[in-house]
Amino acid sequence: MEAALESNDIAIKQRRRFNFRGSLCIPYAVFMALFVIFPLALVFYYAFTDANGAFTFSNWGTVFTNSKNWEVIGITFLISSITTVICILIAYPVAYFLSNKKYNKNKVLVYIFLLPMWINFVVRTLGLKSLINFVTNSLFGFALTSTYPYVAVVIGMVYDYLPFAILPLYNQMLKMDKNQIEAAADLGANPAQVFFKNIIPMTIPGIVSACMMTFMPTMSSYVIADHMSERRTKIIGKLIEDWFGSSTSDVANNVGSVLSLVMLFIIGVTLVIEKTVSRKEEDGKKVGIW
Amino acid sequence: MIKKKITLFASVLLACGSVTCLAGCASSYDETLTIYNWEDYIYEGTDDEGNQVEDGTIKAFEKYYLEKTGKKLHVDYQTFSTNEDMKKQIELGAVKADLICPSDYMIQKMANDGLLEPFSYDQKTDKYQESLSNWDQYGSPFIRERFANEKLKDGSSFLTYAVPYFWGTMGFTYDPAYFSAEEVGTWEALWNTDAKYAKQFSLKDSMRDTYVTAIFHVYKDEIAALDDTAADFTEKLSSIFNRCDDETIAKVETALKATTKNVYGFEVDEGKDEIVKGTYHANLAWSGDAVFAMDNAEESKKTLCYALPSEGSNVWFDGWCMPKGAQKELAEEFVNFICAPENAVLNMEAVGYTSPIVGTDIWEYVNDTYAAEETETDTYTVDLGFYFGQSIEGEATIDIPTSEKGRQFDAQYPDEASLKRCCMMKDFGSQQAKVEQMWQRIK
Repeated sequence: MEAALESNDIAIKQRRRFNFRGSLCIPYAVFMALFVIFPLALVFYYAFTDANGAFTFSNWGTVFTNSKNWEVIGITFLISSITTVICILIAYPVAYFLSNKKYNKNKVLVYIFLLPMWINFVVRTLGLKSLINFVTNSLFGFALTSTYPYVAVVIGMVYDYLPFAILPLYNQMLKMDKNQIEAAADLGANPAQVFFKNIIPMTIPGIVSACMMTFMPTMSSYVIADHMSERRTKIIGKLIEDWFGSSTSDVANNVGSVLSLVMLFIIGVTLVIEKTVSRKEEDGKKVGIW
Repeated sequence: MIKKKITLFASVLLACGSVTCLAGCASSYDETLTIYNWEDYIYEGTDDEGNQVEDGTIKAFEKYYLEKTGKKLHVDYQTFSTNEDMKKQIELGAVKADLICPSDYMIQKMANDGLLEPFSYDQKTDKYQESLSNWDQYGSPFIRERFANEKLKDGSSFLTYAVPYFWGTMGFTYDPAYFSAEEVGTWEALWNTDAKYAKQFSLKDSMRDTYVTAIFHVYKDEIAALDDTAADFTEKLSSIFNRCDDETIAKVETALKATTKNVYGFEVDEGKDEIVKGTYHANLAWSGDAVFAMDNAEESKKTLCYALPSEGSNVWFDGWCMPKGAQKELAEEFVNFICAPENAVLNMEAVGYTSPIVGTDIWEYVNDTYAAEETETDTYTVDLGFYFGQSIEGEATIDIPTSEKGRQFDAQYPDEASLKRCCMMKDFGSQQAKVEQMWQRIK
């Protein structure tokens, strides 16, 4: 009996010395260090050095004195914002409909909406391009991707990122307290009031993450922009690719790194906005309750 | 927990095992030759459906090498898709190649930057001697002259650093049912304000190629004033063609921005399929892609043609080069092998571009593919003497059916007068950054 206890003690001690669960993090830590931290450090290094590796700010000058870059950043911002807004406007009613068990009994409808995500987005984009050009050609006699490239890019982006907007909204709406909606209606709120004062506040976290899920990737998905505009719309992702991929300039990697940091900055800012909105939302709830 | 440890241990063992196998497998070869080439740019021994029917050039070379030297050779064949990308990989040391296949301006840049190893080439006699005897014997006199005349910074000729592999021109693949040969036979078509031309052209999303289309427009009067019978005509045209001073860049930018009305869009390689589909009716294309598109169109019962604009155009070359530190003898052995007419003809057939190699095999291939049947009376005669030189017996004249005018044969073998108007691209040098910036503003 005593011996058994002792051996148990030893086992516990050994377990403390070699934390197996903790060691499971090692692959993740190695992965993060190799593929996130190291590359990021390289990007910072390149952004502040010249072709010979000497410290300089000139790459930032190169990027910000070129008016074309500002134009590209502006266009990217515009395309991403419009895409996000349209995605939310479409996704919101769809998600609401899907979260209603009356219409979506076995969740089959959810799968139908997520089905396109199983196909590679390049293939989907090419299919969409052929389809809309066929439609506009036979109706109006022009190819949309060639005549109105920006419109086509937004359509392509919306098409590709719509599932990413539906999913978080749908998840949020499943969690919605149906009793509260009924109560609001019982207490005399008209449908518009129920929607704006009840349903929307309850789904704000879903809206915020849906915005993130569409806004961030659209900034860099230049392949969609390339295909949908016959390579005539440039977004910041493409600009970065140009510098890293096809430029023969001595400082190509350095300027490309600066642009990468600019994109990272924009994404960072949107993340901060998301965090503040969510926090306010939480605070707001407390106020609402009390 | 123990089970978990065992799985972990097993997977580590497995990983170690596969690494040792890899190391072991590699050492079973006596030598390794690393070739870094364009995608789809070599004969792979497959038929039209993609089935393996015989050895491709790479496999054939390994066998040939084993027979010749008794050594087991492994060819590590890798591919790239742009010159710039290739240069970057070589400079980074990511690919340690013995042979690369850059285009003319990139050969110039890399040679001037000291990135290339010279071949055993004697500039005085224009001979490589025994290491590349096939090129000495079968290299087309026209190509040799063009290449030998292009001088690098150190005064040596292009042939010191590069052995041509394929060459071609740039023009428009077009649908003859929509455009006539005259309409697209000029670069001015891109700036034609007639409604017929609107949104009917695609340009290359490639700075170098699209830049030169505008050059011919910007300096059209100066080019028209040149005397094309003069001996130094090509030289003079080439100096206009390669202009990249600030004023030219500004003019090119204005000109390219003005093409928006006629240009459907930019493309890199979808164009050769889109032109068959009929998305637009003229596609700025390299001659090999034009041949590819024409062949494909025939399968869907459609006729496409290729027009080399009358003002002149670009003639480009891709050549085998050795980066610094390459295994010279082995690399030269491969280049010599691929320069043998019987191998060149296979590659030419597979890739669709024109081989700079001539000789009976090539001449027979050209005749089999393009020459008119004896019963046909409606033909025109082309003299390719300037190109084939003394490599074949008798005269290098060929009769082509008139119905084939402006088609595959003309794309592969333009006549001497047209080629006189075709220039080689040169490196932009210190103006590179400015041209790149201009190009970024275009789209």
